[in-house]
Amino acid sequence: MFELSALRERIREMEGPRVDPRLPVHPALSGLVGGGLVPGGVYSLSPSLTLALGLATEAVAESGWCAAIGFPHLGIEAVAECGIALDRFVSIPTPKEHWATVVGAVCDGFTVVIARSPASVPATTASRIAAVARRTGAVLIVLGDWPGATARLEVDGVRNLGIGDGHGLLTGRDIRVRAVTRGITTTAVLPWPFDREPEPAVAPVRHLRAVT
Amino acid sequence: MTRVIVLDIPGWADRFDTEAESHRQFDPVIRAVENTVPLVRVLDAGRIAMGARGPARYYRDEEGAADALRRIDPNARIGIADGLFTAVLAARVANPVFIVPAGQSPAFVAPLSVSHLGDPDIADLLRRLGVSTLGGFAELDDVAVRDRFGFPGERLHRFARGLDDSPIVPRDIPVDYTCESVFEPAIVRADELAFATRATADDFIDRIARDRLACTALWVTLTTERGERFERCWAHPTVFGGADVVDRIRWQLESVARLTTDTSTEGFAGDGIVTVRLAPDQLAAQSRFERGMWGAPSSDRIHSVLSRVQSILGHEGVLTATIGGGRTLLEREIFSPWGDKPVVTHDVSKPWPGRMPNRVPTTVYRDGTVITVGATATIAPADILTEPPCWLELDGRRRGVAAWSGPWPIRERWWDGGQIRYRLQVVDTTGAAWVLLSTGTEWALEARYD
Repeated sequence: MFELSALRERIREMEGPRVDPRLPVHPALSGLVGGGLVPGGVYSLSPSLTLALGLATEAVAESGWCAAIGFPHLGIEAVAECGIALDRFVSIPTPKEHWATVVGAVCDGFTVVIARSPASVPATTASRIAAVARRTGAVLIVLGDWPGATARLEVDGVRNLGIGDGHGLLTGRDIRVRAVTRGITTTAVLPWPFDREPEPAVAPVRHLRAVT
Repeated sequence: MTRVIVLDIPGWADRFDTEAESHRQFDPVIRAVENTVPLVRVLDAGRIAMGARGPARYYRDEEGAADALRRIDPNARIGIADGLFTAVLAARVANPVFIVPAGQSPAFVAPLSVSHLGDPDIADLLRRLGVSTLGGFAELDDVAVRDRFGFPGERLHRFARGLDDSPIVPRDIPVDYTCESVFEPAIVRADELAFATRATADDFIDRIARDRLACTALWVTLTTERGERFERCWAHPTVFGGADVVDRIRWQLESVARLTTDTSTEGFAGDGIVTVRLAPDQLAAQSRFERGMWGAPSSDRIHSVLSRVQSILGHEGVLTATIGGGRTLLEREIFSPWGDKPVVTHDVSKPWPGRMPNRVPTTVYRDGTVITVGATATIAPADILTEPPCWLELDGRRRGVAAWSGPWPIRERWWDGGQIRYRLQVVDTTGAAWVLLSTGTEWALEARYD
C-alpha cells in the first residue's frame, strides 16, 4: 500500500506541476517566481508579512480562501488593506505542537496558506506537507526555512518613504526582494502599498547629525 | 397538506447587541405564543412556526388565529400556508397577515427570487443557468434537478413546486434516533457547549440520513446540574444539517441563560449543563440520492477542514476576522471563532479621530510589550516630545533611530476625563518601522511594519 502511494507520488513528481495555470502574483514579484505561483508550490520567505501578502494577494483576489497559521500578532486591517477579502480569510494564531498537522489539513481546501514555520522543519515533515500541497494544488508560503522549497525569497533591504527626522508620516515602503531559485539570484522591488509605483532608485542618503 | 402558521418579528435580532441577548429576550415571546397555541416550533430568534389546524378551529378560522397571534407583539407578522417553507415566505411578505389559500402555494412562490431558497450555492448556480425565480426553478425537469443538485436541490425543487413534503408524524418514527451527550464536569458557556456537542449532532443527522430520512424539526432538552430541564422544539425551513443542530443547542442555552456576575462568561449562575438530548420531532422522506454525489460546494470543504482543526486546537483555535470601530489598531480588530457570529460593538463607519487612516502595519501587538525610547523622551503638555528619540530598546537590544514622526494624540472621551494616548512612528537604523503608544511616560509597542 505504501509502495503504491509512493510510486504514485513519484509519477506525479515526474509529470511535473499540474496543468492548472499558474496563479497570478503582484507584477513586481512576477519575475522572481517565474510569472506566477505554482499550485502545489512551497515558497520560503524571510520573515516579512508584507512580502507574504504581496505574494498571496493576487492569487485570492477573485475567489479562493487564504489562511494564516502561526501569526498571533497579525494585523487584520493590513490584510484587508492589501486586498484580501476577510470573508475568505482565517487566522490560526497558535497551532503549537500541532503545527504540521494543521498546515497539512488547511492545505486541503485553501488556495493560499501563509505559515510561520517553527525553528526547524524536519525534511520528512516538509516533504509530507509538500505532498499534500501538490495533491490539492494549494500554494504554501512559509516564513522561515524550508527544505526543498520551490523558491526562496528574502528581503534585502527596505526604504521607508515619507517619514523624516521628527516630521512626515510613513507613506510607503520599497522592499528590495532577492530570490534564489536553483542557484540563480534575481532581485526586484516590491512597493508597499501594493498599488504604488516604486520610487526610482537613488543613492542612499546619509543622515547628518550635529556633533557637539 | 399540513397548514402551517409562521409568526415572524422582522428585525428582532437587530434590536439586541448580541445573539445571546436576542435569544434570551425571545423566550417570553415563545411562552406567550405557547399560551395561545400548545405546540410551537422555534425557527430562530424572532420566528416561530406552529400547526394551523388546531388554532384555526379554536379561533373559528385562520384569520381569527392570526389576529390572536398578532396581539403578542405589535410588530409580529403572520404567514399561513401549506407547509413550513411557503409559510415562512408568506410571513416575510405579510403586512401584517398573509394567508396563502390551500393549494395556491405554487402560484404564490413562483414570482419570488431563488434567493429565498436559503441555499446561496444553489441560488447562485440557478442564476447562472438563467433561472432567477422560484417559478422558473419549478419548471425545470425534476430528474435533471436531482442529477444536478442532488438531494438538497431536489427537496428545494419540491418546495418551489409547492409540494412541501408532508412530514412523518412522531409516532411513525420507526427507529429511536434519540441521542444524549453527558458532560462531566458540567458546561456553562454556550460556545463550549456548541463545541462539545458538534460530533453528537453530526452523528444524529448522519444516522437519520442513513435511513433515507431528513430531520425537519427536533427536540433539544438541556438538563442542568440541579436537575432542571429545558425543553424546546426547533424547526428548520428546509432540513437540518449537523451545524444547524449545534446552533439550536447554543441558542437554546443562550435563551435560558441568566447573566452571571462576570459579564465575560454568559451562562447559568454556577449551574452548568450536564446532559444534552436530541430527539427528532419531524422526519421527511429523503430520496435515494444523497448529498455528496453532486460534489459539495467549496465552502463545505472549508468548513469541514476548519472543524477538524478546531477539534485539534479547540473552538478558539480558528478565527475569522472583521474590522470594527476604534482608535488603536488593536481595538479595531474583531476576531471570532470559526462558526460564531462576530460581535461588533463599535461602528466602523464612525470617524474615530486618532485612528491610523490607512497604511496600517502588518503586525499588531496584543500584549503591550514595553519598549524604552531614548533617554528622556517624555511628552510635554503641548503634545511634543521633550527630546527627539535617538534609540529604542527592545528585548535588551538597543537600536538606533533613523527617522521618527509624532507624537499624535489620541483623545478618548476627553469631555469626561478620558485618557490621552500618544502614537509615535519610528524607523530604526536596520530599516524596521515601528508604531509606539504611550500614556505619557512609558512606551509600548503597538505595531510593526514587517
